[in-house]
Amino acid sequence: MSRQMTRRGFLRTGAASAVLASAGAIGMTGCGAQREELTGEAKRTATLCNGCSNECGLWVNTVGGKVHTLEGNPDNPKSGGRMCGRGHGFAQMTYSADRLTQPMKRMENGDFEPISWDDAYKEIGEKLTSILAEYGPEAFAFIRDPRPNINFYGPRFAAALGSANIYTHAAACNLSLQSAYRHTIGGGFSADLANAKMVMFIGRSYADGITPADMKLFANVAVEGDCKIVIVDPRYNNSAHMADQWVPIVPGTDLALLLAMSHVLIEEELYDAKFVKEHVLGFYAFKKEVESFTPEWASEICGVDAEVIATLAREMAEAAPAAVVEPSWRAAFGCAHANSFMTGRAVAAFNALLGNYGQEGGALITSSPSIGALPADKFPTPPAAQHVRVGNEEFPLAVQGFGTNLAVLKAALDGTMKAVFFYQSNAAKGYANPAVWEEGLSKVDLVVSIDVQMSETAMLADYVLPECSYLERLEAVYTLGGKKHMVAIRDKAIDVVHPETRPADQIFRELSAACGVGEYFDFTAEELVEAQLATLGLTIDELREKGIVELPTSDFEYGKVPQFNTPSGKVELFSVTIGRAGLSPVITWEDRKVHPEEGEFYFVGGKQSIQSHTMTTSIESLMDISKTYDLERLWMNASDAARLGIAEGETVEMSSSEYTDTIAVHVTERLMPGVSMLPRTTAVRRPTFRRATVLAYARPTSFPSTWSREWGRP
Amino acid sequence: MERSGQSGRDQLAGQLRTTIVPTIGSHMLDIAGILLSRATEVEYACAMQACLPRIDEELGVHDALARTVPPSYDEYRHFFNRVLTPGIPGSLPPVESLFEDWGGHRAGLQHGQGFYLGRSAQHVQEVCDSLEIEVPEAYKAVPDHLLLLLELNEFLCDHAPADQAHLFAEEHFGWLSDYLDALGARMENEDDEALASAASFYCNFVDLVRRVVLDEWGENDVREVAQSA
Repeated sequence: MSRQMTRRGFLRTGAASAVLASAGAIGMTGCGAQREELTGEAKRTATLCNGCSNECGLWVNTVGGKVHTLEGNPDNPKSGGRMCGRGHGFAQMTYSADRLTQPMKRMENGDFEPISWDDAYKEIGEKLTSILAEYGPEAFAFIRDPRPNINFYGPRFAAALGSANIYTHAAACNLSLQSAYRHTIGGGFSADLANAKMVMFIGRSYADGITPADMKLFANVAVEGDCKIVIVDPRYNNSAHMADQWVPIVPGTDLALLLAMSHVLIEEELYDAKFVKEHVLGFYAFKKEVESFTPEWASEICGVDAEVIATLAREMAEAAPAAVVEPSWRAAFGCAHANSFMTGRAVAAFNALLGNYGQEGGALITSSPSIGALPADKFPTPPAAQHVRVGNEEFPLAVQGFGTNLAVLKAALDGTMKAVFFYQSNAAKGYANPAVWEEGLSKVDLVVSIDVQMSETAMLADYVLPECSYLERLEAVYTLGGKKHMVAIRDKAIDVVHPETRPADQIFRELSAACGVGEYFDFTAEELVEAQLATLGLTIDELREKGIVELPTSDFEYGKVPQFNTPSGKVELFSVTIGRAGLSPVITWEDRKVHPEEGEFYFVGGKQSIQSHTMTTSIESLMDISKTYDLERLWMNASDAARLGIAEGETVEMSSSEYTDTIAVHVTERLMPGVSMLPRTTAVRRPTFRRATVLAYARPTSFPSTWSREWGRP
Repeated sequence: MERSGQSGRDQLAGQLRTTIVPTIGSHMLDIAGILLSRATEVEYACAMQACLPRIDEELGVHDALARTVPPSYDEYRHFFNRVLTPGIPGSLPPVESLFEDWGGHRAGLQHGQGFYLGRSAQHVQEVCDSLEIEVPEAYKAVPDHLLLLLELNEFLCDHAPADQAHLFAEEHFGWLSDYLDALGARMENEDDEALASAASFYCNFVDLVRRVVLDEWGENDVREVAQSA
């Protein structure tokens, strides 16, 4: 056999035999016990966790260039010096067997084969520029999980190519809720839990979707404080253990509860008349609307006793303005139901009736620090796109910063979307209707996925570009808004583990060059961070030393009613903008789209504190927790189980319009009758994923899912 | 098993060791290079043509590999894409670190298996460093890839004191049993016939490598070992 035909000689042994001859022996005894500990130089690096979207501040301790431990940064308001289990577990992704290690190209038979970065860029660049030339920039879309680094690079990349089609995952998360707040009070708000006398959580559980500092605060307030905490949720979630009252409610009917509580405040004149007069638009239209929404009316819909509804409203009024309905996130009305948008509006309206905006213990609308303009010579701004973003006309109420990714799916299905890029967002499994996403993406000419692991979306891509893990990269600076303004850094803690993985800044620099728009990315991550910090009067060394630095730019003060960024500058209980979009201009009742037929159950999801959607299901230690504590079972109320003759742990078949499978049942009193619940890491099998080999993830609330959700239904 | 004396079995085992133990032999190393890296069609064909007869000649009916029809290049490429390519769901790259505990209880975050750059990788890197052997950049994260382990093993068998070479083999090839079990589990319900066929050949090859390198021929009756495969 000729030398060329062999595949040997991977190791270059050049001088080795001479070394061996002179030394006589080699250190061959070190494979076992003596390497129980890592050895080498110890180092500490500031970073931000990537186990969920909270991005808590951490210190990464490395030894000999390897990650050893992580700990919360005490100065970071999200971690408060602590880390959750999910954060610890997710750090393992850096060394995980499930990581992508090289660029991949999908072949005709569906297999993926490695491709060099140069070839990948060349082929992607040629295909994308060809698509842009033939169909225009509106035929290209970019979807991302919106974190600060990609919030810089993603929109810049799309804009450089002339496309306005930049989206987030939010249409599968909390877009209805955020859009509701945008059009009612001008944007999001937070609950001042530390100073409140009464807080109502609807569908949100700090103990299940943990941010360490929030969890600590919640526990302190709930256990030691004099704040009354009410949990409104079909299930007795893990926060309810510490709460004063659990109010089980029929899924998707929170709106009825809120309208009835508003009715009580108005009928009994318990609302803040001064605040309403000065800061509310449409009060009388709303008052007229809720006249018939009595507690008795609501009780028939939401299953909460009428007297309980009335009492809750009165107690909130009594505690006001240090009382607040917490804004929630995804679970109850982020986007799950046809009435989620209206529910969000009703939350904002009820808080307005309490007159709690800007008040201690109330609803706080705060600002975020802004990075200043970067030097144009080094960081030229791409020209604005010359077309309207796909979906903007059909979904005009969606928060602009998020966009409606379902518009991309619709365009993919009808053949007008020709190229879709994903950045660490798993539409094909993490959004609603995975099968429809698969069908849509199969019709797209060019799908590119940039990710750390091979998600189901990446499996549908034509090219997969592997990014290094968050511990291996420096990113654009993170700004934190709130009562205080802060800026934090995610720094590179270790060298790249897999040499053929690259950080986002390098990928976009090289990819943009291949697409002919490299002039917009001709800078390194370090240069970007330095330029961003310069606009804030900081240096990268200062930030690296502390991990997070407070800025003197916050103008928040208690007692000052915030500026509502609505057309009227007021809380809009009646919205012309919403009316023009074809929805009820006044906040009113809308039912959820479907109700169970005879013999069917409502179906809800519940968060597990140790999982973040599909992103963490490849982490064995986290999945082990889910399995060890039987967190994968279908919850069923004991009375339902008795009626059906189902015992604890028994396997049942569950079926929806989208999916059928078998699963073990957890019989419990912690769920209201008529409702079934699955943790969100459960439901669809991912048999080829080595960690989540039994059950993994789906959106329970994707059943049913329609085009006519409230992200701006025309 | 008593190793003293010169029974017929020992003579046969000794004969085999003379030819293929402790190194796995150049022809098997050539096959390893083909099966464990992404070979071209020409490389694959040449290796199969040149090396399989040698293996057959030396091991003959004693080994399952010799009784397994080699997969076509396309079949093997498909298998390599689906089962040996890192990052593909369900794949099982032949890397020692992934099948050994990453570190002891004081090693930090990574507990259990399924992580790159574990203790075995650290050790291999240290051995290479001490010998001034350069690990290719592409294998930076996997210095304990089976392919490199085999090459290093061969080098040590040729140049290092026998006890050290044996120690290296004992320390770095024991994981192959677990690896083969994982491959078996991975292929258990596989209905892709081409994949299953290629997997069978690959598993037999890995098992042969395991037994040869770990010198099982000397510990057991050669025929029993071979026939149990």
